[in-house]
Amino acid sequence: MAFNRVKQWTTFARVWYLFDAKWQDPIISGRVLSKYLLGKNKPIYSVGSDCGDYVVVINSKEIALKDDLWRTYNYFHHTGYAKGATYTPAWEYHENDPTRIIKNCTKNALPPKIYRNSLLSRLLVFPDDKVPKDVIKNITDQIQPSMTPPKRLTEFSEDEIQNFPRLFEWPKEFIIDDLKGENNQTVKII
Amino acid sequence: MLKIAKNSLKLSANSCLNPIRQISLSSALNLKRIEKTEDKTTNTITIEGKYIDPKETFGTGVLDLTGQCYQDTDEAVRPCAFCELEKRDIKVQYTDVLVLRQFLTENGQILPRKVSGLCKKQQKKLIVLTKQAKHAGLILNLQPTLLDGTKPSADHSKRFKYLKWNTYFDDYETMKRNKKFL
Repeated sequence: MAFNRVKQWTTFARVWYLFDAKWQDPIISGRVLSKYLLGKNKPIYSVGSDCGDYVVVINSKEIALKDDLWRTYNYFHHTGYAKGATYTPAWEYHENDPTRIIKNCTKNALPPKIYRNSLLSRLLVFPDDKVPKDVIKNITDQIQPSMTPPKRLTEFSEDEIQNFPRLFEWPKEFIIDDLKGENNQTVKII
Repeated sequence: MLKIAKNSLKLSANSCLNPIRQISLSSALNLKRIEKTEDKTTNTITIEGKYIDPKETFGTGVLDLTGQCYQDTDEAVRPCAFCELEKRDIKVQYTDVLVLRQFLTENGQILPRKVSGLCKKQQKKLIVLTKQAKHAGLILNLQPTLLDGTKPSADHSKRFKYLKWNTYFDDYETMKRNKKFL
C-alpha cells in the first residue's frame, strides 16, 4: 500500500493555523493557543513526541482586557540590585510592544520545561493584519475565536440606526427643555 | 411676567399626573419645545410651546410589545420595555448600542424614568450598562459639549492612556451574582 507511507508524512507534518485576536482576551486565548503549540489537539499526542503546530496571530494590537485591568494590572521586573524593582502598568506595557502581552500569556499557559522556548518560536505574532507572503502561503486552517467582537455606534450606517425599532413612546405632554442642565444649554433627541 | 408665563407652562406639563387639570394654556397633544421670539419694533416678546412630530424626528414606529398601540393607552399603563423583553429571554447588554441610544440624549445624558417608562429595577440596570458602554468606548458619538462649544473626537485611539485600548465586561446577570461592578 502506497498510501500508508503518505499518511505518516501528513500526520507528522506541521500545520499552520491563523488566529484573529481582535477583541479577544489574551489570558483565555493563551490557554487555547498553548494546546495547538503542544499538539494536544491530535490523537497521536504524547509527552515526548514533538508534534506541535505553527500558530500565526494577527491584530494583536486590538486585544481586549476585562473590566479596569489596563489600569490596575502591573508587570513586575527586578534588576537584581537594590531598589531595582519596577512596576509597569498593562497599558504602558502594551504601548511599547503590542505583541508582548499575548506572548507572555501563552508562555504562562505552557508547562515550565526546557522545550518551552522551542515551542514559542513557532508562535508568530503581528500587531496588524500585514503579514509577509512567506508566512501566509503556509496557512491552511483557522482557530475559532471564543468571543464575538462588538460594534461601535460610529460603525453603523444612518439607515441602519433609523430603521431600528424604538422601544418606548414619548409621553403625550412633555417639555424637552426641562432636561436642560446648567452646562447643557441645548437638548437634542436622537 | 416672563417667569410667571414659564411656570404656568410647566404647570400644564405636570398636570398630566393629576386627573384634574388646574391650569391649561394649550391643548395637550405631543412633545413640546418652548421657543422665544422678539420683535424690536413693537417691543413684544412671544413665548409659545411648539409641538414636535415624533415620527419626523425618529422615523420609525414603536415595537408593539404588548400587542396594544401605545397612543391609545394612558401613560400610567405603559409597560416597562426591558421587562417585556425579559419575558421573551432577551436580556439587554452593554453591547446592544442601538437599544441604549434610545434612552440617551445627544449629550449622553440618561433620560428620566418619567419619559422612558422603565421600572426602578431596570433603570438601575441602564445606568450600569451606559457606564460600561462609555468605558469601552462604544458610544463616543454621544458626549457632552465642551466649554469651547466643540465636541470631543469620537476616535477611540485618541483617548486618555488606559482608555484607548479595548475592554470587555461580563454579562450584567453574572456581574450581579458575583457583586462585582465597575
